[in-house]
Parts: sequence; structure tokens; C-alpha cells
Amino acid sequence: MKRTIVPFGPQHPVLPEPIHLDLVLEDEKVVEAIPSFGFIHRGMEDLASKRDFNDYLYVVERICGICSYMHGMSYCEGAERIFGVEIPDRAKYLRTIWCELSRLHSHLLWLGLLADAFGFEALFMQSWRIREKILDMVEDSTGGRLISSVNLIGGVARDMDREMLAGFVAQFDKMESELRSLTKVFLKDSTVRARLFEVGALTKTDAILYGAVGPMMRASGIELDTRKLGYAAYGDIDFDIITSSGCDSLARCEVRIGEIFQSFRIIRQAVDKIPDGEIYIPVKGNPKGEATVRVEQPRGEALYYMKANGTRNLERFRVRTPTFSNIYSLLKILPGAQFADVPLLILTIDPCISCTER
Amino acid sequence: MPKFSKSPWVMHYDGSSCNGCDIEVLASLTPLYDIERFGVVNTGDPRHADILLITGGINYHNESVVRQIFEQMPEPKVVVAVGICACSGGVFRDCYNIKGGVDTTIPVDVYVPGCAARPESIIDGLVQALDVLEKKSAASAALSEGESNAQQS
Amino acid sequence: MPNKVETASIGPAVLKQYMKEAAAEGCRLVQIHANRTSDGYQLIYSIASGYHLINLEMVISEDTEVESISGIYPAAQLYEQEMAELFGVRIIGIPEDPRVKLYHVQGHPMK
Repeated sequence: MKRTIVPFGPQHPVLPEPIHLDLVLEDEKVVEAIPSFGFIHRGMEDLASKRDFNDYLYVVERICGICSYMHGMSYCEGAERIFGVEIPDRAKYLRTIWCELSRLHSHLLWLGLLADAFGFEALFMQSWRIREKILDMVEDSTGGRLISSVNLIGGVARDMDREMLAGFVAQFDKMESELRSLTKVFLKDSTVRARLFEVGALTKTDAILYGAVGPMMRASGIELDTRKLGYAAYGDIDFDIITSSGCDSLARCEVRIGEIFQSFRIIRQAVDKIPDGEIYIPVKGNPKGEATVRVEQPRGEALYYMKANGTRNLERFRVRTPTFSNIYSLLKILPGAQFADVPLLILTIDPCISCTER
Repeated sequence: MPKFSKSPWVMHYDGSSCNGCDIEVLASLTPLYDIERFGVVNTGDPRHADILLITGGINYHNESVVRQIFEQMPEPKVVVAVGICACSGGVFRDCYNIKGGVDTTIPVDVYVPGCAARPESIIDGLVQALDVLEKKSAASAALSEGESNAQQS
Repeated sequence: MPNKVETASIGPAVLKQYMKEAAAEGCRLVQIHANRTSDGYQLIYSIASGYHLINLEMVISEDTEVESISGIYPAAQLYEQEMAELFGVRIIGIPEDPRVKLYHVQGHPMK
């Protein structure tokens, strides 16, 4: 059969970010997808050797505007590990709460974009309406909507008082019930199911070989969540790892929805358990040594590698972001799909291209 | 008689932004901020767009893409640089792959500061862009009128 | 200490065999990256089995050719391409597709 190559991107309505794919089609069916990157590459890893390691924190937070908080936190965790300091317990709990707030806003953002990709405008608007309430909480507690800059090497810069925390939890009940009825549409509605069910299957073996991480991996039946390593205060908190054996797009949606409700559960526990005390201990001197940190971002496991040589600049900073690892799974699920499903499949990996290319 | 400013069509392109401003551009379309009340419609096609919103600085690979999108837009057109990276390169201006702000590649009419730019300031920038759009369309109308008068005489 | 990482060193000759065995045991390839040293590179291959992470360190000179492991872990191709583009590490056997350029940068900016 005659093959046609259809270019996709870099400017495409479904994704706010530029990614380019050459889709080789046979009729309506995709046979091959050839990616091309580099539209967002800035060269941030190289900047580590030019900036003071304290200032570089603010560059790290701008790897990605969505998981900005977690990038900053992981950088601080890495630096604290090099310095060998243990931050105060209250700071650990505060970090946990902010992490989960950013997971909530990221997953709600994804639900909205997914709804937009299959043309369900009302769902998109509803998801983002609820997301704004989470952003209000982030803004109340940190001062910024997306880029919060509350992390410091040695703790956090701002505290949340008891009323604020209680206020957050008080809003959760209403949000959860709103979300229950909203997510029912995602999982039960026949038109949504028709677009998601058995679309873009990735088997368990392929998920490992192709390097899938995060919800993408858990939707293929692998039970692995880096939060269980117990960074920040996750070691003291009880939560479930949401998995699904569906392996398809619906399963990925299911996993992310499950994680939204787990996040509420984690924040509730953290608010109950948070101890009083200091939120910051001063860290002096220049770092020397190396550290590898793994954290679970909304999109999956991220790995940070830092190497310091005793000067004010880091010798090497490396971050492997979840989308970088998920790209190959995307290239795996595209062949065989219908052309009309391509935007949807790209969204199911929850791509963050600015993370990928840095 | 204002023609364009009643319903400007907006296109968004992500230069090399960190995603923060992009998400805020999208957030300003959603129920809380709702720029559609100004008649603003988000479009994916440069040939339909009156206003180009660019987030993030220009790098050496996307330079040609940005220029192409700008050329594909019909006259009159307005470019709004959203966020500090689009204005000047921001924290990334020392990176080896960053050329600088959007104005290194195409002419920019409105600069929206902030990292990430807040929806309120994006809306403010868009409303300012409407004035620029109106002036440009009046200028081009006067120019074409002058040309047709010159042809007749 | 949570988040503990084991490190081990490995030579370019045995890399492929080691990875083959790791893949057969169901380990994940987490990432590969390069560090610049004074006279060459240090490549770090991180693989994980469950929550356990091992960083395999490989010190090579500038001219050493390293075999690609993308035949074993297809996802390795992106990491290898990245090292080749940014650092100029010589990797042989990356599936040659001129269209899959990663960053389209001039030269090797981090060399």
C-alpha cells in the first residue's frame, strides 16, 4: 500500500509545547513515527558550572513550570545529602504537602488536556476549574501560582500555620465529591470509553524494556512508586500504589484518577501528623561529593545526579526527567494506531517537553 | 469603527519556555479568567490568527519555526511576548542554545513580564494588544485608501 | 538511609554482556549520562531492579569507542544520542537515522 508521511507539530493545537513527529501512514493507520526534538533545548545542565550552587536552585525550578516545586525540592535534597545535613521534621512534612499539591494540579491539568484532546470541552473546563482551587492553595502558602521558590538548601522558606492547613483540609471534602462525579464521566461515559478503551496498549514486558515510568508504567501492571523510598516525609505516611492491568489509555486515566484521591489522603495524614518546630537549618560552606536522588514526579520517576568539587559551582548537574524516559513507550504505542488517535496517545504519556529537553 | 478588536483570534506558540507561562496562557482561557469574554478565540492555525502569543526565548532550532509562523499570519498582526524569557531570555539567557528574547527574531509589540506571567497580566497584555491591532489596521486601511486614490487620479 | 544507591565500576568490554543479563533478569534501565573528566569521560549507567538502584561507572578516554546497548534496551538510544551530541562521546551502533537528531546543536557544547 502507498505510504504517506504526515508531519505533526511543532506547532499543534493539542499540545501547548512543540514536538515534531513524522508519521508514516498507510491509509489511516500509523506504521511508524519518527520524532524530532530540540525546539525547547536551552542547555541548562551546562549552566550549573556558571552559577553559584545556591542561585542554581532557581534555574532548576524552571526546568519545568508544572513540576517546578519537585525539581527545586529534589535539588535541595541532593545538596543536603552532599552536605550530610538532616532537615527539621516540620520542613519534611511541609515539603510533602507541597509535593502532593503539585501532583494534584498536574493530574487535573492532564485530565483537562485529555478531555480537550478527544473534544470534550465541558470536561476540560470543569477539570481546570477545580485545578484553580488547588492553585489558590499553592498561592496562599507559597506566594506563587506555579513557580513557588519556597525551597532552600536546609529546609523551606515559608511555614504554613494551623489555620491555613485546616482550611485546606476543610475544602477537600467538597473537592473530592466534585471530583467523584467528574471522574465518573472519564471512566464510565460511553463516548469517552470508546476513545480510550484498548487504545495504545503497552504490555508489561514492553513497559520495562522501553523504559516507561510513572503512571504509564503502573497502568501496565508494574507496582513501583519512588515515593516508597521515603524521601521528605513519605516514610511515615501510608498510601497505596495505584496500578491497573488494563495496559491501555483508559488504564492510564484510571491510575491518574486514583492517584488524585491518594494525594488528598496523603495531605490529610500529613496535616494530622505535622510536628511543630523549626523549618530551616543554615547550611554553610561549599559542597564536595556526589549524590543521586530519585523522586516520584506526577509524570513518573525522575533522577538527579549532582557532583560538587568544593567550589561555589557544581561540577555536574544532571536530571533525567520522566518524559525523557517515556518517549520510547510513545514511539512503541503509536504504530498500529489510527491517525485520529495520535494526539490522544501523545497525551496519555503526559508529555512535558521542556523537562525532556531542558 | 473597530473591526478587529471585537473578536481577535489568538495563536499561542511555545518558544523555549519552561511550560509555566504556557499553562498560564491556557489557564486564562478557562472559567476563572475566561478571556473569551473579550471575544478572544484560541486558534491553532497561524493563517486565522490576529495575535501571536509567544512564551519562552528563542533558541537556534526554533528560530525558523517562529519566523515561519509570523510570516504565515495575515496583516495586520500583533506579537505579544509572554513572560520574562520571551522578553529578554530570562534566567536562560546565558545558556549556550538560547539566542535571546523573541525580539531577536521577530518584531514584538507588547511585552508581558513575570515568571511565570500571571493570567491577570496576560489578559492585560492582550487588551493592550487590541489597541495596537486597531491602530495597525487603521494605518493599513489609510495606506490602501491612499494607494487607490493615487491610482484613480 | 533511604534512597540508597550502590555504585560499581564496569569496563567497556563487558558492558553489553552485563546489560544483556540485567535485561534478562527484568531490570529497568533508568538512565545513562556522561560526566566530563580532565582527559575523557565518565559514563554512568543506572539500572534498577525494583527500588534498588545501581550506578555503573565507566571511565573512558576521549577516543574510546563504546558499543551501543540500544539493541537490548531500545530506550537507550535517546540517552546515547544525547551523550554523542552534547559531549561527543563515541558510541558505535546507534541505529542510524539521520532524522532522529536530538537537540540540533552545533558542535558538542559540553565537551
